[in-house]
Amino acid sequence: MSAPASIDRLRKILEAVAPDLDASTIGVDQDLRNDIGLDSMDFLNFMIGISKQLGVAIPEADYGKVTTLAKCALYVEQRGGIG
Amino acid sequence: MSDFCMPSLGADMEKGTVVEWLKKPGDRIAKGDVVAVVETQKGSFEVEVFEDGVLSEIVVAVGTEVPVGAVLARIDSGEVATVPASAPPQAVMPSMPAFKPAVVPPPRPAGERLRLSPAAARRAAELGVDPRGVVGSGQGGAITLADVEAAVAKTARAAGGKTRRGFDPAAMRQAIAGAMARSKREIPHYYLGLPIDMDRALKWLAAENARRDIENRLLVGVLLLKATALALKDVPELNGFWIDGEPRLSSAVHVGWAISLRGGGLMAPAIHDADGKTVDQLMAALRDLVVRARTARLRGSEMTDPTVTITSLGERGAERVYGVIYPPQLAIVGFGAVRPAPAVLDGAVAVRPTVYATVSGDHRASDGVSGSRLLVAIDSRLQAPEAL
Repeated sequence: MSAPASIDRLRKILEAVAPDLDASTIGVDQDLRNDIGLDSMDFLNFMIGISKQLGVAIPEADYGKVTTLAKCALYVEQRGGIG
Repeated sequence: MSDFCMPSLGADMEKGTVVEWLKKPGDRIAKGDVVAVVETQKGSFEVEVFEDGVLSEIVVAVGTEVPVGAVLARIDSGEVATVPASAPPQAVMPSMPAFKPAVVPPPRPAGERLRLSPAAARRAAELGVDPRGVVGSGQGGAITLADVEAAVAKTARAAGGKTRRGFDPAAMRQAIAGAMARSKREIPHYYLGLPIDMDRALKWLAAENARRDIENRLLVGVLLLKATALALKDVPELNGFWIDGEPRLSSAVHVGWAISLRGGGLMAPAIHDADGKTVDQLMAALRDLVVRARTARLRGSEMTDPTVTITSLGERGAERVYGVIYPPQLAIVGFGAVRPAPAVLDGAVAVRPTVYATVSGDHRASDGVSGSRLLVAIDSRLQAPEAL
């Protein structure tokens, strides 16, 4: 289980790429594309934000492993991305 | 002296409200400068001018709703035009302040007893405020400088929340209802579809993205966009407008890219000259457009320039979309989600990544054979992704 701090940082990144979303209301297990409505451009920008701010570049082939905030936090933590 | 009018930002727009003036009387303006932010049913847009000159008078104050075509401001272009082309630039600059004394408080209609101080009148003119709407706190109800500034601050607060936070979903719905009802009432659509094998395009894209930095990755939508723009050069009869009972084809391909808004509704602002841009340039243009659509910073001209629309459902969802043409355009091209589908290759069935492409065409302007040629051209472009 990921630390709440990790989720918070991801939420901040998400809000920066999708300013019309209130990221605090997004559940950790909600699917970012299907439930939240991120389109492919939003999702790519989210990946770029993670790369820039957390230092983990997620390859395209792994997009299927980061479909929710919880999965995303886990993926980034396992690669040493969130302190 | 020329008039700067409330522009029509689409087939569905009848009126608009100025929510912000970004220039004030006396400001020098150049063609393409954004001078005001206008709010419509579809949200707020930046509106630019199409000539050089000096903004001499603001006619419509912030917060006032006016019909399309109403004069918003006056532009003094004559004096700039008299500067000899041979004059050195430094000779032009010192003359600039000379335009400013021309800025005077707008004359009040005769018979109206409006009491305001000269300072208040000047400030009201600068800010584009109609003093008749300001409550005076001075002697005998006279309007003071502070009253004018307080009124502006109040209007800005009232407009600000709505402008920056997006739009009214009910008004957006009405705008779409108007345009789509008109389309279906007036435009005899024909519809065609073609499944396109995306194996080569996706393999090329995956290899490209694997060797690129994350910031420079491409989306499959950019390939669809470029392929369509190039195909429209081959089949120009679907690119342009239906105006005054006849087709007006466009030599430029300005693609309106449909962007779905999370609050509800959609917009399709222009990516200019899409056929001449590289995939990287298109990616940058698309990213910029999506962000500005979501934060209500699109330009008015971006709403009226598209010569065709593309609606792409993205990587998930429905297999095909038969779009409704946005008047007065001649066609809309649709792409469903890319998904594995059975295909016949060399007489055997194989599973291939497939996108279902469609075109809805205006039958007044073209026949199905043109639409069919367009889809085949898009297919053939997508089979050579490295050339896009």
